[in-house]
Amino acid sequence: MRIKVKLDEMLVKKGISLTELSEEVGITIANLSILKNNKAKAIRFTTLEAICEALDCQPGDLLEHINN
Amino acid sequence: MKVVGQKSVASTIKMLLTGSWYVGVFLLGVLVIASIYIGLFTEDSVPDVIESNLVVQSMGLEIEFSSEIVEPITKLTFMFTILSIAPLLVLIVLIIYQLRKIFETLVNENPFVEDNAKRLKNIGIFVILTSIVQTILQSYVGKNLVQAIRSPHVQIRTMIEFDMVVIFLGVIFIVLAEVFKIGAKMKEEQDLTV
Repeated sequence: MRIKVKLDEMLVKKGISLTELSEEVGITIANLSILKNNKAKAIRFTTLEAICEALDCQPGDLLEHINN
Repeated sequence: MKVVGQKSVASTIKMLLTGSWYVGVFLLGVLVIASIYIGLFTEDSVPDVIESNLVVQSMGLEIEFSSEIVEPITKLTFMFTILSIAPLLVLIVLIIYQLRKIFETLVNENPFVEDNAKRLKNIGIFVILTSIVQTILQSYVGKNLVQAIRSPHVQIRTMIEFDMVVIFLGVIFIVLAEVFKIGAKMKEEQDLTV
């Protein structure tokens, strides 16, 4: 069981680059890359909120639960 | 006064440990090479049999036995006695090396890494081994002492006594290693929390 972060898909859907998102939400590209590459162990609600606002989406659009 | 980071107490100690490590390795090299050279290759310059007083230092006492009652030691015995110190020196140099690496991480202000847990565990094992090796060495030297003194008025007995305080210290290091392991895991979780 794991949680997949669909940040890549959302960035393409909204036509925003990682750099632009980083500037808008105030999170470093390094941290966003950790999220994008599914290396993150946890995400803060404040981060999730900031990304959802920037991408105008719901948390469920970003996160997907995958059964092994 | 800064304790960790650049130009701190940790950086000063790291410098001292680096110096000690180089000195230790140099001394170990000299010890091994010199004792083997004296034992095996000095045919004319050093006598085969060395007569001298025997001085024993222990627990704040210095006891000197005159050469009249001390068996002269051969060059080979001298070589093996000196070489027998080598394992202890090796362990001490290894402990200094591990400590040096730990202090490097303190200078970089990043102590909670898996490697430090492994280093602390190694230090614990080396400290315990040092106590055991020292006891064996003391027993070996004591045995030689008993054979070297040829006086009916002097009784020397060898005892095997492990330094439990040092062994306990080694165990504490091993426990501390587990604490650092947990710390490293927590840091990793924190680093990977976005």
